[in-house]
Amino acid sequence: MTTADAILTSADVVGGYGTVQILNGVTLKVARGQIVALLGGNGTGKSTMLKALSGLIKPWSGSIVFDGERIDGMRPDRIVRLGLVQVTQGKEAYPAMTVEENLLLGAHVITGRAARARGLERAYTYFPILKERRRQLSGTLSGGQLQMLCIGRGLMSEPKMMLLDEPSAALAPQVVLDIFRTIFRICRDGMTLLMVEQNVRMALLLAEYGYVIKDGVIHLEGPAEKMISDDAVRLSYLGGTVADRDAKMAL
Amino acid sequence: MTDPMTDETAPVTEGAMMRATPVRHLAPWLVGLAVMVPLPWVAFNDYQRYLLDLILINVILAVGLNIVKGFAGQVTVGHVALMAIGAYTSAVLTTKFGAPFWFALPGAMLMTAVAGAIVGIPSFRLEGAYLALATLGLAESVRIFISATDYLGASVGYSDIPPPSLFGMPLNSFRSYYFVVMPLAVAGVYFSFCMLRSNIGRAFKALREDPLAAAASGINVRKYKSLAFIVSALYAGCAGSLAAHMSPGFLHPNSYTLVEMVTVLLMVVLGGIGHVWGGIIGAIIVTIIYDLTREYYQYQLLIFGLVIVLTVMFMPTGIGGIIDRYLVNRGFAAIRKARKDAA
Repeated sequence: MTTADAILTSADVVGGYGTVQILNGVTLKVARGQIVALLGGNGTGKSTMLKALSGLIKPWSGSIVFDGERIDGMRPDRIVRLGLVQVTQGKEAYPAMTVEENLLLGAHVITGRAARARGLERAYTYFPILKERRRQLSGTLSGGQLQMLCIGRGLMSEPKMMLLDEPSAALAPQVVLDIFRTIFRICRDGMTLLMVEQNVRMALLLAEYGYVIKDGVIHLEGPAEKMISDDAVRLSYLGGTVADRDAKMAL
Repeated sequence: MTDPMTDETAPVTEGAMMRATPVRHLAPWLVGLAVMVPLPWVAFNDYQRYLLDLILINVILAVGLNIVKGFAGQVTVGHVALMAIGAYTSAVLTTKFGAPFWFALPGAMLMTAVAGAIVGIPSFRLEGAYLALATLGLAESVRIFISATDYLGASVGYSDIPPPSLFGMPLNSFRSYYFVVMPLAVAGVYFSFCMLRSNIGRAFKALREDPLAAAASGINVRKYKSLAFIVSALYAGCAGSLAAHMSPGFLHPNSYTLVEMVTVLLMVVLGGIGHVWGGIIGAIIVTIIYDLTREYYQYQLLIFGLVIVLTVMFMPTGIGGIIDRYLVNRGFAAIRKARKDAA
């Protein structure tokens, strides 16, 4: 991958919370139109890296360039306006607001009623169930629907790239498959995606490129097909092989 | 067969109810305005007309407080101080600078908005009880400043504030003053609904629910926190100015103590935090009780404080919650009926 077609690059990003350093220099690249998976165990800095990318925490040092602009240390709302949006985990929808209000909230940076209505239509084509439930309070949705709502909300800001924080967290396998299929469709329609996942096998089946983060640095990286057959990854994160094949066929 | 999840009669909440374009919703508001016109003649005596004016002023105050507290979720206690700033600004503008009421009112609102922006600054870093304490401190310092400033009448009070006049006619009776207060109150409530269902309203609610996720959705957290404080201060300034020019045109720093802070808080809490109609009902009930129990001033704080605690414990969604539950139940009843008819 060359820098020329990279939409997002980070170099030696160091950061953390308070005085606790979590990221010890993360360097990664995401090419335009690709799905890239950021993998790693608990507490290795995956989510922290996402927060640094979306501006929710300020990196202490290092640089992040998105679409030709330095975004490290930029306010999160500015970053969203540039076209990089973080999709929070499903549990972070606003339960006291209706599905449609939740979606419209994602369109906060979009001006014009017509543009917002178009955004709603787009979100509803990816997730028809949300259209059925649009007047319901989002607190009454199931876990899978909440995740769909959060992805839909991310789409509403018409981003160039989305950061997904564990889209499969706490969901049934069938639901995960549904959501991953839609994520794939969204990517095919021109979106770039960086997703943090604990469901390593599924993530590597969906993604084109993978990074494994360990102790706040990139430990391994490579094309997803290579990684999935890589012994190191296999040993650390993957179990059987039959399930691989099944999941791949399903996708 | 109707599906309860997709049916158009499905349960709705206040926020969801008001979603069509503002223009289409203007009609019921004009009807409401017309209904409210004869009220001062319905009232039996001048005391009731006075109460009517007072209620409407407090409605403006409560609706404004609901924006920062209910919509945006910022716990602010010292709202009464903003009202004081509005009242005294308006008084000074009319008596010392000879400005007519119609200029003093927007002037007072502008001044209060500036003060509101300042009150909002601590909210960038503080939350919950800490923010409440900071605003309480600011509010008390405003009151003490007034009590200590001779220019503002100090603890003697500020008197001879002229009533507004229209075409040379002074609106000094409670009946004529009603027609200054009432349209402003209706406009304030209408504006608050417009805000609730706009992009700004959604941003406020997102701030209330989860500031971090709001930021991730592209909302400039500081900007919208400030905006909530400023808009709410505009309401407080309007209420303050209206209170100043109401007969007998007298202001005293003792009208802006802790008791009043708790009273205003009670309007919003009893009405249901974040619920516009609930807040209005709360303002009506609390104003009447506040005025009736004026003789027992020393016990008011005790009673109102207790009611706040009890409301929060046993009825956390307030009157607004009861209204919403009623609407939801009616929605379900309609679905059941539709099913029965279909069967």
